Amino acid sequence: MFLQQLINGISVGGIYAMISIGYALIYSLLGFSNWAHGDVAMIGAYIGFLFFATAKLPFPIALIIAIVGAGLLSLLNERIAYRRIRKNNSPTMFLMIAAMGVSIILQNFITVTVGPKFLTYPDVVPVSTFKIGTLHIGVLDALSLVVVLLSIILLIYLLNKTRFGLAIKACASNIAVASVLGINVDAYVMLVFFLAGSYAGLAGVLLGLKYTVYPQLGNVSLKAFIASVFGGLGSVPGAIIGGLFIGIMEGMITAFVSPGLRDIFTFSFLIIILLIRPSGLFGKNVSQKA
Amino acid sequence: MKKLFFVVLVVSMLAISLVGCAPTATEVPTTAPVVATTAVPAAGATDVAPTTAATVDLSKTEPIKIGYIGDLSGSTAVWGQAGLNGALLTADEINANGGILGRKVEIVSADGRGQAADSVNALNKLIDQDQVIAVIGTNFSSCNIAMAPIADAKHIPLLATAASNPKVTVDKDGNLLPYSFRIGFIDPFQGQVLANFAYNELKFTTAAIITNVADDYSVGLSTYFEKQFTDDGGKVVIKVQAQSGDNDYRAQLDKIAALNPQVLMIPWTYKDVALIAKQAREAGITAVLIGGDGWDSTDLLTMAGSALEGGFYTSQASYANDVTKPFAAAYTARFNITPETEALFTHDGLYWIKDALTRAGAVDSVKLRDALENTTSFTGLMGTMSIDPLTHNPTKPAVINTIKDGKFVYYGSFK
Amino acid sequence: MSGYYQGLLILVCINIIAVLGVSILTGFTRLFSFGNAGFMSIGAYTAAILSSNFHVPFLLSILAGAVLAAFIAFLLGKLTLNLQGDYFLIATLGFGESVRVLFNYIVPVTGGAQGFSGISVIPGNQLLTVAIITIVCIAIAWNIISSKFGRNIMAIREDEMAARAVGINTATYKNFAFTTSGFFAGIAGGLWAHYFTFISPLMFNLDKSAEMTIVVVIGGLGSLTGSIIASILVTVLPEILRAASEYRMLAYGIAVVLIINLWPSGLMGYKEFSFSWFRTLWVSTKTLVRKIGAK
Repeated sequence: MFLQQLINGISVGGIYAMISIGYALIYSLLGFSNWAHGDVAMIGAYIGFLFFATAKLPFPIALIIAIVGAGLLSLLNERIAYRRIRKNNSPTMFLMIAAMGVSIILQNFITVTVGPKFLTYPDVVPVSTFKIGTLHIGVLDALSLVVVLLSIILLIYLLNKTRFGLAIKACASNIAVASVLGINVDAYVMLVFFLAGSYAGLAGVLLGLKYTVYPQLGNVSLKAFIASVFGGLGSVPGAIIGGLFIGIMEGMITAFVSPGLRDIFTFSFLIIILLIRPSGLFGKNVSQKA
Repeated sequence: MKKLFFVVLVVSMLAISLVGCAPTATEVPTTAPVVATTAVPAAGATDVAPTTAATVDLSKTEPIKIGYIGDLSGSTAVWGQAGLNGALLTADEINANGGILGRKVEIVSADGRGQAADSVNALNKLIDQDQVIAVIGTNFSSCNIAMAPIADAKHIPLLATAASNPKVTVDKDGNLLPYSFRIGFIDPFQGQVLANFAYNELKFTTAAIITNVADDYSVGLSTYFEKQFTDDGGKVVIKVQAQSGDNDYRAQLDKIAALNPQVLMIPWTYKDVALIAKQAREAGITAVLIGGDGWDSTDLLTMAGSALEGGFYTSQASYANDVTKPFAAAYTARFNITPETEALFTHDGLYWIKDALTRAGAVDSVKLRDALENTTSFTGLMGTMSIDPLTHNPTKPAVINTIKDGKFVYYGSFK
Repeated sequence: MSGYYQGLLILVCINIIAVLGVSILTGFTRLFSFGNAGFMSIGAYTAAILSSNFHVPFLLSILAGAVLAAFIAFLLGKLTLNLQGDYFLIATLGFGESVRVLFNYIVPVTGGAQGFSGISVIPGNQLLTVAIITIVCIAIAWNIISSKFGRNIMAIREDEMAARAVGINTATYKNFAFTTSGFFAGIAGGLWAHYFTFISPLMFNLDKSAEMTIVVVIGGLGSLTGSIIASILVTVLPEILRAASEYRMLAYGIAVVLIINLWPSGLMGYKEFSFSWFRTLWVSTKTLVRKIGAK
């Protein structure tokens, strides 16, 4: 039973991780948590649905369009809603409020246009289960785990082994200095938002496949945020581990303690982290903002 | 300066509250009378002989305004909108056959958004601004419980559609709420019917229940199912809890799978029912799946695929029942979408009001209330019902549908 | 006055009271809370349980609810106020959600998801009672802002480091603001319970918390008057624009993004209502008339 719950937890946690990565990337650059990130994932799910279910394109193509579309949306968010605040040197709380506004816009835009009805992806793979002894995992779940793993490896390679990754780390470290050194900060900010958005888009499609597509799909981002806090805001490896951990922990609490109180446990866990070690597992030393 | 400010503020607020605002003109009616496409109302729905349009020109009479409150814009707008459409369609049908007591019926709608606060505002508006003599709606118990005191104070009958919490018509101390009525049956009844069905008809002795603890409907249904099933002699081997929005129920379902019950009760709304069913099959649960009228949506089968094959659920009424087919056809022709059960509720609600008004003999909300309370037999598209004067709950059979070959199939009526 | 308008005004008053608290917290200390609906919930259930089960008089149960909410705000503040803005926000969000989850769970006390019904109605002329309570709350809020407390809080908002350097105990003042917001939310919750006579945990969810913060942003961070005006607008507009109710939330989102980008000081900025306005208006009208007359 424990092993089975572990598998369940990893399956959910993997998707949390994909979204947490986006939080980490954006936080590392701009120092704020992009509240609208989960809704970017939700739009990704809808785009995928549009091209796969409605336009009846082959799934891989619809997936790519969804990923790119979500990335573009994320980039647009930055350009339209956040850039001015950043340039004005307004308090970072303003960025969070703008993000909240964007989140409301995205959710309600979908509600008003497509409608609040729940949409179901047609089956991509035949619905069946892999069975190993007494353990089982759905074929779809197994496949999405593989996809998640591959994308994470790709991201780690991108960040650590390319010039692009180096530039991002420079910006993350100190935006002002990076810009003095000749790095086109604005361009990199856009690129990072695109990257974060595309991962969110992938997560969105996976979520849509696993469950259903509806305007509030992005609410899962709250858990992803807690995951990235746990891993250390701004740290990508932290976000991945955090996502997996939160997924597993929630599964365990649901199965062995109490599903009704599960969210209280998760939030208390968050408060405890914030009190004991606010920088999380791998985060930078968090100093009190003056 | 500060003191003066406060004096001004106090005076102005008192002035507002005491003097009051000028009443606005009544709202422009939202519907225009259209000749209905169905010529004959549902069999036995009314005992008033229909007058032909030629003898009475309804457009010259003062309309009888009946309100409708539902979720017209939120996440459950699918149902609210269907209810409104059903009401409009039915009103036209009634008007084409002479109206009520020689006057035409006009539906005035207000958006309750599925929230108690908005529903209360909507009810106040319908009564005070639009002068309706009765209101149909909503399908949410929490909204109707909040609206009940207003209906009682202003003497306007309020007919809940699918709201199934007993407290909608009887308050927590056991007192009847005189102006609250409902058209559908209540949770205790549904739970009992399902339990008896599972035990007596399907001959199952072990059951598991998964409950949505954030939803009073789910909690109510689970409680009564468990009670009845155990009283009958069955055993509920495990109860698990979850919440809508979790989307992932595998943790709980794996626990159920380990105990292998014969039947799994899923008293949720259709979106989550589909997810639970699919994940249950994945977890290796072979039990027969059953549930309440929250399953009742045309979307359920699209979303659940084959996971629900062989399942059963109680329904207030069924479009699988032949008597509803003309109505469904007219609905689809006019609104270009298949109807939800909520439309049947508003249909029967309007005809019930017509029946009661005719018995009362006058267009008066107090007499209407009395006539509604003393309904001994009313037949609508959802079956025949009578009202218990002590609780305002209708006694009517529950329909049980099954899912066969990916379609809803009528199975039978049960008491 | 028709019951419809009465009801609307009562709702406006209740929302104003809740927003007063958030205004003091956010507008004047720049701390954003997404959990104040949790305090409303605590105030509502406490007042409801006291007045229904223990027959405590109306005003006393409202006060008790508010005090309990304030106390819990105080405790929560102690735990979380030294965290950065983002973290604090998430902690309050978690708190609000936890209250909702908890109240759903402890069924014997709160009735759980099925709600708590049969709460006694606001005594006397409902609107009058609520209006008076609202005025008192506005008076209290105003006094806080114009007092030494208020100036200290604003100092923290402008530059926390400097404030600390001058010797202001930032932690105490921030917690005072937070506790106050809990108190006001508790009063609003208690009034809500006795107006609707039925409450359920779902009524006090994240959307409600977000709505309060949105109102403060629209009204202008740092202006009590702005928050009050925005609160009235946000409560009344949906009723006037019933036809466009689908687009309401969308409009709010767009408003928030626009305002925070272009006019972060919102409707009123740091300004408050003052009688000198009338004088300014009179003077400029006179000047205008003279200019036109001279042509």
